Amino acid sequence: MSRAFRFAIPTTANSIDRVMKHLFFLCTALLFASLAGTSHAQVAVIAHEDVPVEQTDAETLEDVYLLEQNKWDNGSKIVRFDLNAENDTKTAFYDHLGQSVSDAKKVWLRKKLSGEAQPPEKASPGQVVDKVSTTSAAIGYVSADAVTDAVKVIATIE
Amino acid sequence: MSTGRISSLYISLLVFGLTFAFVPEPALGQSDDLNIYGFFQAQGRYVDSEDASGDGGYSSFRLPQLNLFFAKEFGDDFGAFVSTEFLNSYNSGEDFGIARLGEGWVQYEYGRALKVKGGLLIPKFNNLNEIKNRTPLLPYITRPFVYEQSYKNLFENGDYVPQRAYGQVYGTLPVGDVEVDYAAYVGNSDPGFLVSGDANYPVSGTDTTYSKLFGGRVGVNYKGVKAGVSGTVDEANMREVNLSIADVSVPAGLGDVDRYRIGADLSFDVNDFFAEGEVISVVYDLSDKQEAQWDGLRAQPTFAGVLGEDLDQLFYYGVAGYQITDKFDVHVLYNAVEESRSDTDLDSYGAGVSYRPVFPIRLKAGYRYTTIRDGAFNSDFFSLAASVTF
Repeated sequence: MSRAFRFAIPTTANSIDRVMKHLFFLCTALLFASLAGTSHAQVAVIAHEDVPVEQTDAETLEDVYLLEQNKWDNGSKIVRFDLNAENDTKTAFYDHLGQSVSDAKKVWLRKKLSGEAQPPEKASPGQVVDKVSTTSAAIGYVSADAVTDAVKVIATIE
Repeated sequence: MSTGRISSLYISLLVFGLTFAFVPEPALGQSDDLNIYGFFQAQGRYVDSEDASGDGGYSSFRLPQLNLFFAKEFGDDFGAFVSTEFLNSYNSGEDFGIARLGEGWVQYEYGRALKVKGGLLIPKFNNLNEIKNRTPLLPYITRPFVYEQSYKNLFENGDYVPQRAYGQVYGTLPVGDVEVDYAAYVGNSDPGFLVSGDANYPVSGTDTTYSKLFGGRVGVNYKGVKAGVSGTVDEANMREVNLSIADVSVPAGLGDVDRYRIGADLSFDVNDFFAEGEVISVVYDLSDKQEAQWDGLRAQPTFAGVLGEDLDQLFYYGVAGYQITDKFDVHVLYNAVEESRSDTDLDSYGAGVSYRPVFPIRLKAGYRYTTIRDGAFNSDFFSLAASVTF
């Protein structure tokens, strides 16, 4: 009994040691996983095929999404689509514009209440590509892995 | 003041506010359809005032502003907008408050550099005029004096800022990193002239004002900092001179007087700090004959000590605030009016907070201290409000 007990102690200590190592690796993995979760996904700014823009910059996108620029160069009225829920894609997009989502909402409210322009139409991540591809002069943004051949990508945000 | 009265008011306002705190966010966006939407501000306040008669405190609920909007776009170039306003707890049955057409215009947009509006519109003058009635955009409950409809009995708002125009050309031009805004408009003179036709004029519902308003604004916008100067030229109806703050109307018989409004505005919203300031100087250019008439009135015993040296008016205000979170902000505010015509100064300062439980609902709380004539009358205002976009 005492012998068994004598050998049991180091065995238990080894087990604890192994468990601690596993816990350490698990925590490390969870930490990296959580950090990965808060990093911004790659965002693609997409447009309908008839939009007369092939590449655009953050300044132009800011003017478009803050309702300052309402027409493309060919005179067609811009139709904007915005994600209906806040997620990494949306945050990354507005960060790129130098705005927070709530700042953009305030600008939209001012434009809407003064009758100058209506805010972008809301759509789910799954709907944005479909809506942009089927709406003339439309622009939207989605996670880069959601892009299809039905739309053209006019900017990519890392 | 009664503690019980205040407590019951605040409890009622709290319940009122919480009722609004759980309303789902409406989804509105671009559409070719007719967009119908609006906003209102409901508020309650306790006023603790002191004058020669002693304590004049009271509390009251009110709905000072409710707007209904109708907006529609026609193709790529045109859009129309109609705003109807119901002010000061409007109730036609009780002959209370005001219902009116605030705006009704059609807009042509060539591009960002050129837009043209025609119809009844609120012209661009300084930063606040166009949005003075849009309470969800404003952090405070009670607007600066000359923009606050509730002070209609104290000020002729139309003296300080142009209330309406009928045509406006405006736009934004990029000049390097700076954006230059411009606007020019034309309309009838101030509501002091507003009449709906008379026996000599066959078409009823026509504003028979014969004097025109011309005005505009030029401003710059650089990385969230905006500054501009504004001006208007028109004629003021001075057959009677209203000294509203002094509660006197003088049959001055000055006729039409050339009036020049000059304004300057500066505002910024950088990081989490925001600030806005405006100055408006209203100058009345009396002819020699009119000046002699005014001096004659001042010499009369009835008006001794009532009438000031000239008719000029000055208004200035500043608000500064900090956005603590996306939903919560705090501010301090100061604004003042100096009316030379009645030798009266009125100033007010205060502080407030606003909170958005959901974006369309802005709950506000504020305090104001207001004095007239160097403390001859002073009031403390405690207010709570819900500004709701729907």
